[in-house]
Amino acid sequence: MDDLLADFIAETRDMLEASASEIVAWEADPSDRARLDTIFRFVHTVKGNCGFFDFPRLERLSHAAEDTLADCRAGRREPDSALVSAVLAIIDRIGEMVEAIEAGEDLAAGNDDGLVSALSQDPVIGIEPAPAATSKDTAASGGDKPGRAAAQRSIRLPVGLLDEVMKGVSDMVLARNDLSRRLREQSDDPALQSSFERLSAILADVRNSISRMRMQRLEHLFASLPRLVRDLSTELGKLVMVDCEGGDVELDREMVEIIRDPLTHIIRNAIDHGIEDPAARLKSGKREIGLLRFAARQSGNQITLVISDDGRGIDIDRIAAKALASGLRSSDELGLMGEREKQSLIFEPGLSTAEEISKVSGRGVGMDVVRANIEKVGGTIDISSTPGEGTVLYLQLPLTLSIISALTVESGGLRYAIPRSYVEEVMFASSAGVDYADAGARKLLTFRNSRVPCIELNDVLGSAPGENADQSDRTLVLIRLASDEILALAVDRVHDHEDVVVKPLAPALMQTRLYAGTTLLDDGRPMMLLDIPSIAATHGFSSEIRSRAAPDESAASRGQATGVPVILFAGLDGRRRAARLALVRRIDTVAREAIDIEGARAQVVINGRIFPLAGHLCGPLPEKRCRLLRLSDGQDELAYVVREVIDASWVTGEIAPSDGDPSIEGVALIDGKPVTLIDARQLFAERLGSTQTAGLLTCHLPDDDEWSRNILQPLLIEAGYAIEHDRCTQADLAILLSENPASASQSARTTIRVSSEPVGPDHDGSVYLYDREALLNALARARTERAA
Amino acid sequence: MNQLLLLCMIAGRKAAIAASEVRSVIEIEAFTPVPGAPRHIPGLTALRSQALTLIDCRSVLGFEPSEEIIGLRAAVVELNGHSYALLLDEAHDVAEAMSAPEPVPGGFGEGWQNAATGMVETVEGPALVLDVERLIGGQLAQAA
Repeated sequence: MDDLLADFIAETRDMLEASASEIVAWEADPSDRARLDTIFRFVHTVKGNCGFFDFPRLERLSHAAEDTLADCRAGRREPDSALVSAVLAIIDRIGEMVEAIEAGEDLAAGNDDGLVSALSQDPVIGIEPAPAATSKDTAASGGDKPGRAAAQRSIRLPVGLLDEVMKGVSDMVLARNDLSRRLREQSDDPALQSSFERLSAILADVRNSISRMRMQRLEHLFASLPRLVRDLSTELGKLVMVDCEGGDVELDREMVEIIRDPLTHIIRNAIDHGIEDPAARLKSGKREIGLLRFAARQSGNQITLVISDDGRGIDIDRIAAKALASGLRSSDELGLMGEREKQSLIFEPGLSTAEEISKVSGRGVGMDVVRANIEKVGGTIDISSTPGEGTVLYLQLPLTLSIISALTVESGGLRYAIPRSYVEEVMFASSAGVDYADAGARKLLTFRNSRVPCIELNDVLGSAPGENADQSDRTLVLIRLASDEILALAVDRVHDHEDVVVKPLAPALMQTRLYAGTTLLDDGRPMMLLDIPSIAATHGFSSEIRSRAAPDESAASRGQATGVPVILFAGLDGRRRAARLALVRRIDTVAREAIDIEGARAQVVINGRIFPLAGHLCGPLPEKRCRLLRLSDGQDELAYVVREVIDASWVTGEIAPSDGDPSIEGVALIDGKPVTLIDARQLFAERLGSTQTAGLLTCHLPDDDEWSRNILQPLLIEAGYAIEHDRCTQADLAILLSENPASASQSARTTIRVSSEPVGPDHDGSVYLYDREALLNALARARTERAA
Repeated sequence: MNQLLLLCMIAGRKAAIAASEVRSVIEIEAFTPVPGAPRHIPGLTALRSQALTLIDCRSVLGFEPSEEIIGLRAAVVELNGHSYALLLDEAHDVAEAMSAPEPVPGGFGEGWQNAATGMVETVEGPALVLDVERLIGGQLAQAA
C-alpha cells in the first residue's frame, strides 16, 4: 500500500508540474479547448486514483472540479474567469493535500465547502481562494519544506537508464563467474578468495536491488482492490466480493502504473453496469453477492490479467443502438457485425451505455481510454460476455524485461526453463500411485483421482531421448494451464528453481512456437524458456485465453457435452464395472498380505492406514499384488479391490437405475457396452458402519420414518451405537416397531421392540416410543447382555 | 570514399559484409542448440550478457550445414533489436572496396544469387557483398 501511495503522490506531483503551465494558459484564454481537456484529464485521474485510497476530501474536490469541467466540455456552461479561479483554487488545494499526504499528516480536518461552492453557477460565497491556498503556492510547486520530508520519497527515473544499469550488472555477474573460474584454477590464496567472496556477495545484493527496482508483485495492486470495490459497491448499493489470484506474479513497475488506471475504470464499469443490485440478483437465481475476480498469470514474456464478473453481461442490442444513435456505425455496418464485434464496440470512443451519469462512471471517459492505455504499452484487451452470466475482460500485457521464477529441466542433454507459475507439482514416474497408460497416440497418466494427459518433452522438441529414456525413470512436471487443465510433461531430469531474466527471441525462433524467450545461465550459456501455452495448444489443449473465459461455464458445458466422468475397471470376477471419477481419490497397489478379511469385515492397510475394503466378495483375490481404487466421499475413504483398472471414460447416455441391487447405482453404456456403475455411497454406508466405527455396536433402525431418523437415531448415537443401514448385514441390535411385524425378519443379536402406544411394564418387553428413560434403559440392558 | 567491408570466407568462397553492420567478430566457444528451430539456426550463443542467434550462412546459401560450429568465426550483427552471429568459415580483414558494386554475374548458384547485393573488387580479389537481412531471413536456396 505504501508503494502505491508513493506512486500516487509522485504521479500527482508530476501531473501538477506538467499542468502548471496549462493552467496559466487556460486562465489567459478560458475558451481554449485543448487546455480545458488537459485540466479535465488531470482532475479525472486524481479522482480515479482517490478511489484506491481513502481520501474523501481529495475525492470530493476532484469530483466537483470534474463535474464543472465536464459541463464546460459539453457546452452546458461557459468557462468564465470566476470559474477558472475556482478550478485553480481546487487544483492548488489538491497540491497542498498531496504534500500533506506525503508528510503523513492527517487530512480529515479542514473544510472545502468554500472551494466547492465557488464552482457553482451562483456562488454563495465570493470567489476568494482560501488564503491557505495562496500561501502554499510554493509548496505546490515542489519545494521541499523542512519537517515534511519524514516520509520516504520516491523519484522517477527513465526506464532506459534502469535497463542500462541492469545490463551492466548482468555483465558484471558474468565477468565475476569468469574470474571465479580463473581464481579456482590458479590461486588458493585465502586472502584473495575472501575478498573475492565479498565482491560476490555485494554483487548479488546489487543485482537483487536492481531487479527489485523494476519489478513489483501484482499483490501491491491487488491489495488495494477490495477497498476500492467495497467503496464503489456501497456507493451503488450493491454487494460485491473480490477474489484475487496470482498476486505473486511480478510485473514491471512501470506496467503496474500503467494498468492501475485502466483497472480502476474496469472495476467501476463492472460494479456499475455489470453486477446487478442484490434484489435483481436473487430474482435471477444468483447469489446476492456479486463476484469480481482477478486472475493474473505469466506466460513467457506476457502477463495475462483476467477480470471477470458474474453480473448481467453486456446488452449487445443496447450497445448497437447506442452506436447507431451516436453515429459510430451505420445500421448496415451493424447488421454485418457478429456478437463479439458488437461487444467490442464498448471500446469505441464516445460510447457509454450508462443511462444516467452516476458519480462512478458513465462520463464517456471509459473503455476507449482503457484500451488506448493498454495498447500504448503493446498490450491487448478483449472482452467476452454472456448475457445474464457475466463479462470477462482479458488483458494481455507484454513483459519486455522481466525476471521470472523458473524450474529448469533437462531433456535430450539440454536445459530448459519452465515458468514456475505453471508448475503444479513435480513427481517421479516411478513413485507409487503413478500409473502410465498408452491410449492411442497419447500417453495418459493416472495418479490420485485423476487422469492426466502426458507429453514427452523430447517428442515436443524432436530431440533424441536422453539417458533416462526408460519410462519409469522419467520425471514428470505437472503443469496447470491457465484454463485449469492439467498436463504432465515428461522430462529427463529436473534441476533447480532459478530466477531468470527473460530476453526476447529472434522472430525465426519465436515462430517455432516452442520457446517464449531465452535466458542466460550463470556460466553465460543461453537457455531456452519453453512456451508452455503454445506447446499445449499445439498438442491439442485449449488455448489459454478462450477457455479461461468462464471456468465454471466451461466445466458445466463439458459436463453436458461429455457426461459423467467415470473410471472403468474389471472387478475380481472379471466383469467390467465403473465408478464415478469424482469419488476415486487415487489408485493404489498393495501386496496381498495387506488385505485382511475376517468374516464380513475386510480391511486393507495402505501406507500405515487401515481402510475398509470393498469389492472382495465378487471373486478370488489376486495372488500377489492387488489393485485398489481408493474411493472417498469427502470425509471417509475406502478401498475397492479390482482386478484391473481399464481406463477413464465418460458416461454420455442415461444411467438406467437398477432396482434390486443396492450396491449398484445403475447400468450405463460405455463404448456401446453395458457397464454397471457401482454405488459408492452405498459402499460407504455399509463399510463405515462396520469398520470406521469399529468397536461401536451397530443397530438397525425401523423403517425409515421421521421418528426413527429424528428422535431414535440421535438417541442411539448418544448411547454409543452406530447405525447400520444395510438390512442384510447382521447388527448387534435391532429396533422394531411392534406395529410393523414385517420388519421383524432383520438379523440382529438383540431386538428392542417399540410401541406407539403407552405400554405397561410387563407388556412383551416393548417400550413406549416416547419414553426416553425406558428406551435408554433397554439400550443399556442390550449392551450388558452382549458383553455377558 | 568506398564502402568498408568485412572480408570473409563462406563455403569456400570469398564474401564480404558491410563493415558498418558488423559490431564485432567473435569466435564461437560454446553454444546452446535449439531443437525445433529452422535448419539454418543451429542455436544460441552468448556474448557477455547478450544472447546471439546463430545463423549458419552455409545452410542459408544452400550448402550442407556447418558440421563443427565451435571454433568458427562469426560476425555479430543487429537487426530489428535482435542480435545475431553470422557463422563464417573464416573472417579476414576489414578493407575498403576497390570498386563500385556491380551486379552479381551468373553462375554462383541460387543461394549466392539471392543473398548478394553485388560484386566488388577487393584487395583479396572479387567478393560477393552479402545482405545481412537476407541472410537472417533464412533459407535462400534448396540445400545442394
